Amino acid sequence: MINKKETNLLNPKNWVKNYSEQLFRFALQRVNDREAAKDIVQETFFAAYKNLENFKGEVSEKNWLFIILKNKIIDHYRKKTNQLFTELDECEEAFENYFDEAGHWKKETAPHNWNADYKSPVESKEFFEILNKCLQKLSELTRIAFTLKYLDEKESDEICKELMISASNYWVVIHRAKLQLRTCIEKKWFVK
Amino acid sequence: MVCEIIMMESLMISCREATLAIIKKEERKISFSERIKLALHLMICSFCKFFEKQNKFLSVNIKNISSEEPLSGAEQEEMDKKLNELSK
Repeated sequence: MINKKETNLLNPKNWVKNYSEQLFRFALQRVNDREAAKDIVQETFFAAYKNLENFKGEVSEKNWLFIILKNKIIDHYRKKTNQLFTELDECEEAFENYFDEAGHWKKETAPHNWNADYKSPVESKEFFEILNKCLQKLSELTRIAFTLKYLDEKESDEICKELMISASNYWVVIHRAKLQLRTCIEKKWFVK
Repeated sequence: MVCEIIMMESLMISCREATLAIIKKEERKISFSERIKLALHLMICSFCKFFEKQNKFLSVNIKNISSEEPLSGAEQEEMDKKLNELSK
């Protein structure tokens, strides 16, 4: 079943040794859950092994595994977003923390001056630890949308398609997340 | 006169709308009229001006986050074992 060309290019025996580290690191950055990331990598190897025959040799072995991995990550996201769809109903409450009925900033949560140089990159390790903690506080759906937007630099249309959410839901999620993140960072880092 | 007031009113957006427009602007997903309304709002609202700068700051820095905790040797072995079982 497997022709010569394909066996020349794919070497499942060495997959774990050669690629598990890179695949795992990529997955972990995107799913934020060590166990889930491990499962996704394992599933990637399984799926790849089952599809050896479909490998056309058009891409390298490594890229081929990464394509499968990315699909597995999207599957994981979809499972999560289906579970978490109800959270969108609670969105309005979240906005009430920031804006009054007329849509103006509430005193308690209105942005302060951070007195920071916004343009130069931050190098403090502590800052990133805090930023990470603030991100962890966001909902799963939000973190997924953020990961796709900022880490993978995808456009909103593409993210909506992948997560099967509407554009308006997407903007609600991102809008709320930015408000939450901004407040968190302000409290924990800039205005202690 | 009345007409001018109506014009003015329709150009006014709330902070909630302005912050959303700021976020959409990052992706160039805002219309010309939205951009005008946002610019006007930013002229008079210092909170939203802070928000605009801080939002951009956060977008830039989110990209630089990384959580590293590599796969252990034992975990790799286990993966390999599972894969080998499949190939038997």
